[in-house]
Amino acid sequence: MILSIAWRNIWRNKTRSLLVAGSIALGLWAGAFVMSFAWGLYQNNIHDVIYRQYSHLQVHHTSFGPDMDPAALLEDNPHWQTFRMQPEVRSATTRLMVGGMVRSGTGAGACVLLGVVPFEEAKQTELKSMLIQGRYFPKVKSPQVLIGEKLAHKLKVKLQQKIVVSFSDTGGNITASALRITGIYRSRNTALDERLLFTEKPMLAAMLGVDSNSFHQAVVLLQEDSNLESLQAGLLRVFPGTLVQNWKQLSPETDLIISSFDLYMYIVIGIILLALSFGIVNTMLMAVLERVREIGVLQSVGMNKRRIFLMIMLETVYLSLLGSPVGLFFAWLSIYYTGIYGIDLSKFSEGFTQYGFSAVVHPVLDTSRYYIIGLMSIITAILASAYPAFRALQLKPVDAVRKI
Amino acid sequence: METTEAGTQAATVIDAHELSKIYNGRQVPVKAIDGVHLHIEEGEFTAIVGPSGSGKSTLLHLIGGLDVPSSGNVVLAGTEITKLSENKLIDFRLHHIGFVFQAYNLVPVLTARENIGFVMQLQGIAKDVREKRVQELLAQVGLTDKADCKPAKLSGGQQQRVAVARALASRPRIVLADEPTANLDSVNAGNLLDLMARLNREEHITFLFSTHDPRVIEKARRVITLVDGRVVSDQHHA
Repeated sequence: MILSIAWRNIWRNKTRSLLVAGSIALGLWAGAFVMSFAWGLYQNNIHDVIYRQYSHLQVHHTSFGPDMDPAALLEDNPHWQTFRMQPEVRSATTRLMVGGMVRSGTGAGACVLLGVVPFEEAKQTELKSMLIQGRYFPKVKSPQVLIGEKLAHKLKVKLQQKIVVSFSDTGGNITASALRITGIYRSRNTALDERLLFTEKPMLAAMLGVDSNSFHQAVVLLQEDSNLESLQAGLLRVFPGTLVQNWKQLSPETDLIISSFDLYMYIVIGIILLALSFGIVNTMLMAVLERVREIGVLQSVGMNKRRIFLMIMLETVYLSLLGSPVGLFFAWLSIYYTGIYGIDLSKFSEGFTQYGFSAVVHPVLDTSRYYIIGLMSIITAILASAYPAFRALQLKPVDAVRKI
Repeated sequence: METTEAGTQAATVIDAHELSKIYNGRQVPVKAIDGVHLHIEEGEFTAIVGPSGSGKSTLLHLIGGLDVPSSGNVVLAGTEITKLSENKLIDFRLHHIGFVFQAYNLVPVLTARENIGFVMQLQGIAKDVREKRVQELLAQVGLTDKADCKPAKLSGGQQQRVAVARALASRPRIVLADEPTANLDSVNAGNLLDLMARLNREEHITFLFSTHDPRVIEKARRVITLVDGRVVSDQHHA
């Protein structure tokens, strides 16, 4: 009967109840959508970190370090060839990698020159798809290089022009080479665009004076992130005594984003629900104060305080149960739609790309998060009902009955 | 114990002793009830009369445990309700006292049937027993055809009859009615009084009214007159 009375009570003032349920729906929709948008944004970031920057796993010589010691080389071995053929491995390649200076006739800057195996690199970093001018390592006789759009602007150079890259060789001697620009790429990370240059590995090996089978870095993309730890251990067995790192170790800030995402997002949802709870408290308090006499009569005829408390609480929970599914349904609908078509933030892309974010965001939200948000909404309703219900308990039957 | 007309021994169901209620006014305390002694036997049909502000409603509220006396005590059916905790008092009211209010005070979202059955449901009475009793009460108050109407669809007289049925639903020993006919026209008031008198006779329920309606006073077998919170007369009618 209390369930029934509570349900009918909320329909005594339809407009008010629908407004409260509507505000709950709107709040949850907004909360869920913001959450999905942020997660979509971070998914882009994670994708870029793995597929355009670090790959899942990287191997370096332990003395390679941030200074990129040219002599810290690794050697190809049969175990590596076996490892990269595993079904869990999506692609793998090796690179030479030196830090140096790049200059043109009009500018200069620090750079990292990567010597890559073009057909392997195409599978590894989406470099080929990032080209906006020129071609991906065309067959040319002279040494060639792919540079980022940002660097091209900085050096004021165009396709087919030459730039000079200088760096230390394995003997510690400065060496320099003029490389012709055959392609200009644009990634979503302008900081990298300004710094990373790609050339063919045999050419760089020759410049460094090392064997073309040597490399500074081996990178591995996996089919699934879930195999990360086991394959990391496997890779260490292939290259014992080396430094094998996964992308979370290489990009701890990205790992931090993922691990703290839930916390941040639930704080956001919590703030939205807190704001909603004030509306709920206000509405339910009005509903209680309007029914002072009725509540007094219920107490007079023998309805105890526990039941009255429960009745008021149920009314609030019903409002939440009306609003939450509607809000979550519309959230699902809008997330589904924008998840497919994306939200183009190109107007703000300059700011986004500086931080390595894509300008097109595809919102996404796990099913479990819908349940958690719904549950949070019901818990908020229960908490928000406590004060009005407590006020109802403070009513003395005689005071209520006297209000005749 | 007193001997009734039928010659049986009637138990005291309401026993108020030195009952006082003082309200703290802005300047001086106001004595709403001033040292009232009251003994009412089971099955009595008693009216408390007096001018407005004489303390009739306050006395009923004190007897029904809706209000707490400043001094004195109230014993209902052998239980000193002035010593009960709030929860036990609510439970006592649920099982022993029925209330009828001047403004009916039915739960607006419940039908007549549900309003009557509600109290029994609070008592935990089984559904089939409850439904049978509701049917019986609806028939007694002549509202079988209005069973599924909500209060807003009932006239004042019909609502008050539902309120009486609700008061009787839990088979209380005492029904306290605060100005039950005040909002009713003469026809409805007469019908209601006849109904309550019949229930008093047939179910042997003790009725105690506060009223200044002469029609109620005329039907009452005992009339207690209050003036300024004091009992000034206590007359038994034939």
